[in-house]
Amino acid sequence: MKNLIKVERAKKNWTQEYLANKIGVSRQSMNAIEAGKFIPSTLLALKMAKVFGTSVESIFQLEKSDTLL
Amino acid sequence: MKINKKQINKLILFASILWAACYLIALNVIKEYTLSNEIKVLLSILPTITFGILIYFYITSINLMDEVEKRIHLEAAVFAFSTGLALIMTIGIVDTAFDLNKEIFGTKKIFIYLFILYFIGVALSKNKYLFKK
Repeated sequence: MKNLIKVERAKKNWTQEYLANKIGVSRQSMNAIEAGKFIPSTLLALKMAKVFGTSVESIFQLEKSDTLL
Repeated sequence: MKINKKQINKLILFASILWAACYLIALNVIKEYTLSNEIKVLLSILPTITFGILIYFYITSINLMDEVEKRIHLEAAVFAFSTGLALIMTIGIVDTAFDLNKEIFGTKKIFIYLFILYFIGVALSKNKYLFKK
């Protein structure tokens, strides 16, 4: 799964720390999520979508490797 | 009263020192002095109570963590539990074969290895999620 957090952050000109504070995680955790090392819960994904003013699908997208059964 | 991360970390540090002090005092008093069985039982339970306080603060701190931090500690616990089981099993077999030194591999010391394994687990998991490029 890929995410476009960095792109959305750049649009708003927000730092990782600012976004992390807005959704209630540490900056290091925010970095892990943005780098794709950790897939956030639905709750955190929804919080992120809300602060960006967009949908979850526009931030998190499935890749070809995430095959459906 | 709502507690924050800094406060809970201080409480964990305080509880750790209290537990370690209780454990060492109880161990040495039982070893050095001739005591009645009732006193021995009381002294043996004392570190368990302080350890319970430490566990309570630790669980409270887990509840204050975000989901990445929770995952790190969950993976560390899984690592420590599985490697700890393997360690105890191996020590048991090797002890049967060679009669190991009880000062190093006895039941009084083995829990220290479990702590070390937990911290190794935290380091490995932190490296995976927070530091690795």
